[in-house]
This record gives sequence, structure tokens and C-alpha cells, in this order.
Amino acid sequence: MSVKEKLKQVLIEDLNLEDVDPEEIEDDTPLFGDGLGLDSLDAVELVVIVQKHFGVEIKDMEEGRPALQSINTLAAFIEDKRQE
Amino acid sequence: MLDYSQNLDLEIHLKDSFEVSIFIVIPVYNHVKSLRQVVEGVLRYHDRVLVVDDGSTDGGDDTLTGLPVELISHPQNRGKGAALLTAAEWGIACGLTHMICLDADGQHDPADLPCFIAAIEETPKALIVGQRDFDQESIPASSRFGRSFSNFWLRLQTGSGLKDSQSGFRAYPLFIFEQLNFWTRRYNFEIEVLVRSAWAGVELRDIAIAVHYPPADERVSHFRGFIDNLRLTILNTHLTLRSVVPWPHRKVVEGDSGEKGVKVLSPIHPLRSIRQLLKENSSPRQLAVAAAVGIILGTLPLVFCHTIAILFVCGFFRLNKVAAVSASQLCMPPLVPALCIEVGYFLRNGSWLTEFSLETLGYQAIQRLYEWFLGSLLVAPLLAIIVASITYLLATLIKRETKNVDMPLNDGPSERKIRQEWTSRSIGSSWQHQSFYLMIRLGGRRAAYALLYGVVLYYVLLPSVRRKCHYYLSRRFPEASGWESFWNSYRMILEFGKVLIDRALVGILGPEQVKEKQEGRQELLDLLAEKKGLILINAHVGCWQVAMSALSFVDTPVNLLMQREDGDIDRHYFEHAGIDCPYRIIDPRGYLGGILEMVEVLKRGEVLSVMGDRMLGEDRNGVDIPFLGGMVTMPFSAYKLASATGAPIAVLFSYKSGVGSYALKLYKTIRVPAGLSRDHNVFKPYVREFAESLELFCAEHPFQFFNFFDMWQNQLSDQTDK
Repeated sequence: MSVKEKLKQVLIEDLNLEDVDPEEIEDDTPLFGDGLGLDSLDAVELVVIVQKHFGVEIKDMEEGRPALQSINTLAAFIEDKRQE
Repeated sequence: MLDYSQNLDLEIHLKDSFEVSIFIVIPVYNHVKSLRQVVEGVLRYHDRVLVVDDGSTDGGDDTLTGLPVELISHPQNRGKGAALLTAAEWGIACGLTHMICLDADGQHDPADLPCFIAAIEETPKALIVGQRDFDQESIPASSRFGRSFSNFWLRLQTGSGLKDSQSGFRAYPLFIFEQLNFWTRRYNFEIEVLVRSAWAGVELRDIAIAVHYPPADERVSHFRGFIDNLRLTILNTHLTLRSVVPWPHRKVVEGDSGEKGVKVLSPIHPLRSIRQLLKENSSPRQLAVAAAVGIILGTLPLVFCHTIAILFVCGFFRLNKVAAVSASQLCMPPLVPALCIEVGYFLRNGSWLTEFSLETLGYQAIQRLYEWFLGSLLVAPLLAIIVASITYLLATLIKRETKNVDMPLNDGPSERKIRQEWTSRSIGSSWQHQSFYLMIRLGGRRAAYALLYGVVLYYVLLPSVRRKCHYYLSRRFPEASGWESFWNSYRMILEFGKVLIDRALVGILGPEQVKEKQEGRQELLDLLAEKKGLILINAHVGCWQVAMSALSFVDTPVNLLMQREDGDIDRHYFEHAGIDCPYRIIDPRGYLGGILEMVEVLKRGEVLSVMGDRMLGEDRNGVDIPFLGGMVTMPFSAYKLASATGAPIAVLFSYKSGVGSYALKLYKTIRVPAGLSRDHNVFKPYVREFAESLELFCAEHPFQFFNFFDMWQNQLSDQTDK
């Protein structure tokens, strides 16, 4: 399973996004606001999820903020970190 | 501009008693270029025109050939004032009642004449001045300045709020020339006539006019800089001195003033005095303000100059001079100066001056004078508030008593405006803060506190302020009677003021001004040792700044979630001290409410401090929980953060525990487990734990929860049972 697919799956499970299928989430949908409709508290959860499932820690928000824009950016961030 | 139709009934009414007949006068001195044009323009609007040639040498009179105007010539130049007096004499001889004067240089537009005529018919006893619209760009800056300067003097001398005292476009009722004597004949005449008319009870009124300033090279002015300015200065000096002499001015118009039959006013007979003053067209409020001014100025150490200062200030603000001077008699030596000196001495030395000797009163006179000044800064406002309140109360009572007897209150627009200036927002917060900072610098904590007691009393007297205290206090003390709740409000605002002062003290005079005591210090260190970060939840209690500075024993960086408003005049202690903010500020208005930054600092094991008792800015993450017997909305983001990062929560409140001491107490440690569901309601028990701690704090320190809004009404979901 690709990083993107797994991301969609754990997002739906851990954030309890009811009535959403992994296929419905576009790769470039904004995570916050109009797109997926996540709020600031979900951001907290996201940081936790990424660490729990991918072993990647978002510590520095200088890099965390651009990463948390969409599935694409977040997946790219995770892959980058894993290679380091 | 006046509307004719509105004045029709007035006109008919007035014509019974006052037949108005008007002529236009154009004084001219060497304005050959513009004269004919001006006269022709005037003739289009009015057929009775007089030209007074004040000794012109350019043959301007010849240009008038064929025009139906009267002409009087002075053999030599005597001044504009002389020309106007000549015109007035002519008008009186002809049986006319009013003259409208406009300049020959073309700067006045004859098209404004109908407005003047309408204004004369509306107020035939007034002197009407055309007010130039100075927003135009062509007006020279020097003219603007000259106008403000001249308006200031006029106001000082007469209290008149005329907006353009320098304008030469005016309508004069001729009776003032029959009854008053004028000293001046040049340009200064135009000032003198205003001042003497005002003193004589003539209403000064302005109406808007257009003005045309010809380009500089076309302008012909005969105002000679030095000599005319000197004349103005001499006149102003004389008029100003005369204006403060309490000898009454002869009145030519009745009704507007009340200086007739003034009985002797005396502080020994306050009721009689107030009754007398009330008859003289002063409202209770005006009297109270006048009395307050009298007391404040009377208390200050203006040796030998009290009365003069009071007369000037009252003249300027058109306050009742007699009331103010009478009130200031209460401050006669030795009582009030002695009181001021004692207060000042106490502020500086912490004890009373008990030794009265040549040493303390003679050789140390300068010290005593300084203490007098210092003390008067406190005594003056306090005494003024007391005397003004008493005056107001008595005046209101008496007014009610004599309401049906006589005289409507003079409630002209100018008075009303001045009163608003005095009452509404003139005690601006910035001004007030500055005065407290000044007291701190001059006299330290005691001085600032002493000033506070009076200021708080003033505030508590305002119903709006009491209402703000009532939201919380009515829940904390549901049984309180009217007086108790008044007293509770006073204590609450007083505590709040003291905290503000202490905060400034720490900044201005140094951190040793405040002692701190910590309860739960070891627990805090233990929590930090877990290396999961630490969330401190504060509330708007005590002095959180002191709480934060008390955290200096913690060597971990501290981050504050704090929103600073633009124009926030409330200064923090480090700003007073001029040092950098020792904390990192996280702005809740940032991206995602600053929450990512909060996660970041906790992940680094740092301290994050947030307010737990109210929703901040755009934060919608609140839950409704019970607090002090009602439902309130409190934010839960901090608890979510704790759940996600594993950071413990410490509920930390500070309170003022003595005159110069604060305590910081760890009320509770809250742990929020990880893996809670997304439902907001799961945080309710933890938020409630915080609310319980706050309830406990309110029980222990009821007047230190600084909540001045109705937090019981601002719920997200409005589903409370009422």
C-alpha cells in the first residue's frame, strides 16, 4: 500500500471521518478548511497520527506547516523523512 | 445656510416688537480695482448701501459714478473701526436698526447677504459673524493660525465659542453703538466690538459664508504687520485683565445673563448660594463642574494666584465663575494646605509630620512646598469629587423644589457641547494610566494606591461599571443586598486597580517591589521532569504576570498564548522596564489558531501557558460546563493538546496576598488520557476540573476574579434551561 493510500485510511479511521471513503479523498484536496474540513484540533491529531503510523515526527512547524496542506504534501514529507 | 420658509413664523412674531431695517456698509481704503464690482454685486441683493471712504488716495470714489449708493468720506485715513462707527452713526440718524459690513477688496461674496438678512430677522438682537469655510485650499496658513489665535482670546475673555472672530463680514445691531463705548478705531476694533458686545449680553452668532481669497499678487491688504499686531496685543491685554475683574459689565440686552441682583455668595450659606446660582441659568451639573474646578485649582499650591487661575479657566469653559470662586474658598489656608502637606509628607516618608518648628516649616520650606504639591495631586481630585457630588445633590434637590417658579435653564448648544466634553469621555484611559504612572514615580505605591481609592469610588458610582461587576458578583454573592453589592463592586475594582498598579510598579521601580510566595513548587518541577512539556492553565485572576515572573525558577522556556490588541494601552511590566518580553508569545490569530506552534513547544518539552476561563478570539472549540451555578463556555483546546502530547496540565493561579506580596498556588494537576474520541464532550470532565479549581479560588479570594462580562450568557449551544 502506498503512503498516500495508507494516509487516507488512517485519517478516516483515527479522525472518525464518517461517510468518507478513501477513494473520495483527492490527493490535492486541502486538509483544512474547505477541503476535507479538518479543524485546528484535528491538526493536533494529525501530528500524532503521522508519528504513530509512520514513525515520522513533525517537530518543527517551519516544515510542518507546508507539509500539512494536502495528502500530496504530507505523503511527500513522510517519504522524505523516512529516507533521511 | 438658512432656510427662509422655516423663519416665516418667527419673522411675523418678531416684527411686532422689533421692526428690522437694514443697510449695507462697505468701508473702503484704496481698493480702486475691486470697489465698483463689489458695490454692484451688493446692489443686486439690497438697495440701501453706504460706502465709507476712509481717506482713500487712489480716487476710488470716482469709480462709483452712477451707482445709487450713499457715500461718506473721511478727509484722512482713520482706520476701519472709525469707518464702521461713522457708518453706524449715519444709520442711527436715518432710523435704521442693523448694518451689514463687508470688505471692499472682493473677498466677501454679496451672494451671502440674503443669509445675513434672514439671520438678522431671526435673531435681531444678535451680532452675526460670517464664518469663513477654511477647508478651502486657497486660504493662507497665516490666516488659519490668526483665526485660531484670535478665537482663543475671545473665548478666554468672554467664553464665546465663536468660530471665526476675525471675519469682517458681519451684521451689527445698531443699538450696541448707541450704548457702548469703544476705545479702538483700527483693525483691533473688530475684536473689541465682539468682546464688549458679549460682555453686554449680546449674543454672538456665526453663520457660514463663502470666502474668496484673491491670488497674492492681486491682494490689497492694509493690515500693517508690526503696528497692527502691537495694537491687538495691547487691546487683548486690556480686555483679558478686564475680563477677570469681577466688577459686573453693563448689560444692554436682558435675559441672557443673570448677574443682576447677585446676592453675596458664601460657603457659610451653601444652600442660599446654590439657590441664587441656580437662578442664574446654571444647571446642577454645571454648578458641580464649576465647584470641582474651583476646588482643584484652590487646592493646588498656586500661591496667591488661585482666583486668577479659576477666573481664567471658568472664562474659557464658560463655567460659573462665582460658583467656582466660592467653592475654592473652602480651600482657604490653613486647613487644606496643611492637609496637603501632611498627605504629601506621608507619601514620601510613611509617617505624619508632627514636628512644627522653624526647622521643619522654615528651613525646609521647599520640601514642604513639594509635599504640598504632591499632596494636592491627591487631595484635589478627592475633595473635588466630594464637593461636586454634594453640590450636584443639593442643586438637584433645590431645582426640583423651585422647578415651577421661574426661569428656563439656559441650555444653549455651546453649553451642552462643553458639558459633554467634561462628562463623557474626557477622562480617557490613557490620561488616567499616565497619571497613575506619575504618582508611582513621585510617591511610590502609597501615592498610587491613595489616588486609586478615589478613582475607584468614582467608577463604582457609574451604573455601567457596577453592572459589569454584577455579572460575576451576583453569582458569587447571590444574597448580597444593594449596599453589600455596591461595596463588593468597590472591592473588586479596587483589587483590580491595585493589581494594575503593582504590575506597573514592578516595571517602573523594579521587581523587588513585589514579593512572591509559591505553593506547589516541587510538584511543578516534578511535572516538568517528565519531559513531556507542561501546560499551565491560568485564569483572569490575581496577577498572571506576577505568576509568570515567579516561574523564573523553571529553566525551561515559557510560551504564552496571548492576543494583543492594536492600541492596547495596558502595559506589561517588562514594557515599563523597557526590557524584551521574556516569553515567547503565540498569537491565537495565527495559522490554525497557533495550535501547531503549541504542539511544537510541548514536543520540545517547554512550558505552554494559556487562559482557561474564556474563549479567545475566533476560537470555537469550547464546551459548556457548569460554573458558579450556571452554564459557561470554556475552551478545551488545551486539554486536547494534553491528550495528544501527553503533557500534564497544571492549574496555576496567582493572588494578591498582602500589600506588596503575591502568592502563586498550584490548585490542581489534570491529566488527560490519550486516544479520546473526537467528540468534544469527552473533554467536559477535565474542563470541569479546572472550573472547580476556579470556584475554589473564588471562594478563597472573591474579589480577585476579574470577570467584567457576562460569561454565563455566551454559550455556543444555547440549550440551557432558564
